[in-house]
Amino acid sequence: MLLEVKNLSVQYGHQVVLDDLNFSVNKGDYLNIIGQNGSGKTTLIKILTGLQKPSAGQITHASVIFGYLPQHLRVASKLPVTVYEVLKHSNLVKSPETEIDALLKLMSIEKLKFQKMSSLSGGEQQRVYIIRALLSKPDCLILDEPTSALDPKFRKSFYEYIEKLNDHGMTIIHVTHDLSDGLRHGSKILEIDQSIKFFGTFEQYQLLEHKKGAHIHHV
Amino acid sequence: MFEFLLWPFVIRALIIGIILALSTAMISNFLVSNNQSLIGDGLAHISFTGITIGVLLSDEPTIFALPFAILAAILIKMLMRNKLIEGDTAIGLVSSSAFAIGLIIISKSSGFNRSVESMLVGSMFSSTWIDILLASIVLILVSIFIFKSYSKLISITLDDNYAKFSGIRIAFYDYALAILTATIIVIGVKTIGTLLISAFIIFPAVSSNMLAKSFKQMFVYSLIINVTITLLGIIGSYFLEFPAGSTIIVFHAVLFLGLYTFTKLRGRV
Repeated sequence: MLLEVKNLSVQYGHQVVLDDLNFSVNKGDYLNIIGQNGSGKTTLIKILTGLQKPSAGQITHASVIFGYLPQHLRVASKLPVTVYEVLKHSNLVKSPETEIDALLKLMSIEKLKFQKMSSLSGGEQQRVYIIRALLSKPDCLILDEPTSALDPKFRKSFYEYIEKLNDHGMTIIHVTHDLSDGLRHGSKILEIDQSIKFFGTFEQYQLLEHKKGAHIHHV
Repeated sequence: MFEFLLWPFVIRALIIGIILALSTAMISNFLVSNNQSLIGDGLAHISFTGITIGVLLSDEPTIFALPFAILAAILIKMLMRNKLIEGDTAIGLVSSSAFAIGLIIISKSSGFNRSVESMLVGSMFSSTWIDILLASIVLILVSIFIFKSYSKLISITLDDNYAKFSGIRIAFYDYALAILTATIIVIGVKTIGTLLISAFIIFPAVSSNMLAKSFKQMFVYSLIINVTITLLGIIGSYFLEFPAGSTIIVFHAVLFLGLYTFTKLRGRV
C-alpha cells in the first residue's frame, strides 16, 4: 500500500468540508478523484500534498516521493524568470541540467529553455510545470485538474504520456471535474461530496452510472 | 577635478554608499518580487523611533535601534502570516504606531542633540568608520544568506505553495529576509534617511527588471545599477551641494523613468 487515509475530516468552524474519509491507494494505481465544485476535492489535495493539516484523522504513507501539478499555476508574470530557472530552482533537490534538457525535449519545448515564462502560452507553461513535477522523480504524481490550460491536441498527448508513466509503475492521483478526462480502464474512481460517494473501479462506476441512467463519455 | 577625493569624509561616504548599495540591491530583488516593497518603508519609520530612543540613551543609537527594528519586523511578519490582516495593513499599523511614539519622545525630550531633519533625510557625508564597519558586517551577513538561499528564495518567489510542497521552510526564509531588511534599514537610515531608504530598496529591482531577460540577470543588473547610481549620486551631491541621499534617489527615479519610457516605446514598435 502506498497511501492510507483514515477518518480524515476537515472543518472550518461549523462548516464541514470533508467528513470522515477512508480510502487507500496502492502502488501503481491510477486514482481519479471526482466531484462537483465545492465538494472538497481541492481541500483533499491540499492535505495529500501537505499544504494543509486536517482537523481530524491521518494519512499514513511509506517514504513516498510526491510530484505535484497544481491547478492554479502561479506564474510570476512580472518577473523576468526563464523556463530553465523555474526548473532549476523549484524543487528542494536540484536536478542536473541534462535531466532538465531531456524532459524539455520529451515535452517538445526544448527551444523555449531560455525564454521568459511570461512569453509562453498557457499550454507551454503547463508543460514546464509537468516537467517540474517529474524532476522530483516522484513515486506518486498528483495532478489537480491538469488540462484546464491545455489545447485539445496537447491534452490528448498529455494523457497518453501520463498513462505511459502509470504503465511504468508510477502512481497517479488525478483530480478532475470533467469525466471525459483521463478515465482509463483499470483506473479507480473516488467520488466525493464532503464524504465519499463512491470508491471503486472505473468499470464499477460506469455500471452504477448506467443503472442511474447517466451517460459517461470516456476516452 | 578629482580633488574632492582628497577629503576623508567623501571617501567614507563613497565606501558606505557602495556597501549599502550592494546590500539593498541584493534584498531588493526578493522583496520587490514578493510584493513586499513597502516593508522597507515601514521598517524605516520604526528605525526612526529606535534611533530616537537610542539617541536618548547612548552615543551609539544604532545599537538600540537594531533590536527595536528587528522586533518590529518579526511583529509585522507575524501579523502578515496569520492572515488576519493584509500585508500592507500590517506594515502600516506597526510602522505608524512606532513612528508616532518616536515623535512623542522627541517632543517631550529636552536636549535632543540630533536634528530630526538629519534623521529624515540622512547625512551620508558624516558617516564614521564605525558606520562603515557595521555596514560591512551587514553586507557579509546579507551576502551569505542570499547566496546560500538563492535557489530557495527564487522557489518561494515563483510559487510559495509549490515551495512549501517541496519541503522548503517558507516561514524561516520569510522571517530571515525581514530581519535582514530591518538590519540594513537601521544602518541605512542614518546615511540615506528615514524617508528615502525604502526607495533605495525598491528602485534597483524595478529598474533592472526592465532590462533583464532572466532572474539572474535581474540580480546582477540591480547590483550594477545601485552601485553606479549611488556613486554618481554622492559625487553629484558634492558638486551640486544637495543632500546625498536625496540626490541618489532622484538619479534612480530619472533612470527608472528613462527605462520605463524606453520599454514602452520599444513595445509599440
